[in-house]
Amino acid sequence: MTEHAARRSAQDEDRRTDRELVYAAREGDMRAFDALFYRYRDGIFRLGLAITKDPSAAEEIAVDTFTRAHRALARLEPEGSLRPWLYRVAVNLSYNRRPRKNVIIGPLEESANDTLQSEERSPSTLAEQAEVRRIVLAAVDTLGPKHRIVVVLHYMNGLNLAEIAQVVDCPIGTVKSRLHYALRRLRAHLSAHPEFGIEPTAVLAPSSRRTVAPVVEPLPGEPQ
Amino acid sequence: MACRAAEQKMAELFTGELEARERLELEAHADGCARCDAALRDLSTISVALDRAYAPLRQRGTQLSAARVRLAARVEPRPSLPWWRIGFVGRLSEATMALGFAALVLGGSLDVGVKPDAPLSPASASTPSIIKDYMRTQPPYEETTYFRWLRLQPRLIVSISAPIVVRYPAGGRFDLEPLATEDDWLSPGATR
Repeated sequence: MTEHAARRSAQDEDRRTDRELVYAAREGDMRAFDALFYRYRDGIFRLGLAITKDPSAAEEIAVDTFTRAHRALARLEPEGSLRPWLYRVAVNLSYNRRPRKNVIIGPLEESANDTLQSEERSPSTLAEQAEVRRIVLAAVDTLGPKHRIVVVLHYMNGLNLAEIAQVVDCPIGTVKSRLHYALRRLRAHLSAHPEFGIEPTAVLAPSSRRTVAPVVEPLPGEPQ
Repeated sequence: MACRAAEQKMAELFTGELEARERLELEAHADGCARCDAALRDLSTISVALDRAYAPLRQRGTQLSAARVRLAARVEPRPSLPWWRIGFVGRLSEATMALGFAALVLGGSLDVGVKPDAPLSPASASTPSIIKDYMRTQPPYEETTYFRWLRLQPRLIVSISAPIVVRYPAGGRFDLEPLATEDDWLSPGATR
């Protein structure tokens, strides 16, 4: 079956819910399983790409995720969507993945998008935007995995808070706290860059705004 | 509203899940709380920057084929025949191959039938063959056998002893029948 035909058949089966597709795949209907694959492969690829920064690694993660889904078909019971389960597997695979050696990972930018924008914007504006984007993504990389995944799942994959809670398997209030904390950490990082217009004084939270006693007492003759 | 609750509301605001009424409450709290006011302003900026930073990546996709998953999961294509027919045909072919192999081994080891020293078949000796006859009448290469062969060729000896007829060209042509007259040759109704 060619790629095009496979996609067409997958689109034909789009009307079925995930639950129906899982049950059909459990009976041995691989077309139903393919339909699930084509439904979620891009999202999982992007998720893997955001974490690993390596497109080929992201593709491997997508394949591994669905291989595990195929192995787990007998015990999968999706109530609504299969996406939280798949994303959780993909997140675990992405974080457990050891980065490949000797691979130079380029910027995660879509060149086609830049050329589309270049008709209306000047090259210097584009360069500024690319620089801002690079700074933001680098700041996200400094976050811990728990907070980074919340940011990635929302801003990259467009999941809402309830869906993120399902993926990371914790209460929705925890997700909100993590998102808030992640944004505050990012604010601390990005306040060093004047492009964002964040005042460095605002970074200090009132709880941390306390007078720090000097660690070493100054010597009698030392200028203060 | 406590600052703790305001943080939760802010997260909802950034994911676009805050209702208008709750948003008003949050803004009312931010008006009275300098810390939450600064957080709301700065984190909104950060949220927008994140949204823009990930915008090009959101358009990325992959051309992965489901065949790779099948390959990785070692999924065999589904058989179109029912299992019992596949089983029956499989057993039949196995039995046929086993029988054939057994016949091969037994036929080789028992040495029944064909004897290598015996002529392949009597009919093949008597069948006339142009090639065989031709090869038989060819003179041998060695001198002694050549002369022996020469003596044993009756027709050749006869032909040697017979007077040699030399035909000379007649009418300028090496031909057996010379033309009778030149007129005949030139006449339109002449038969050649």
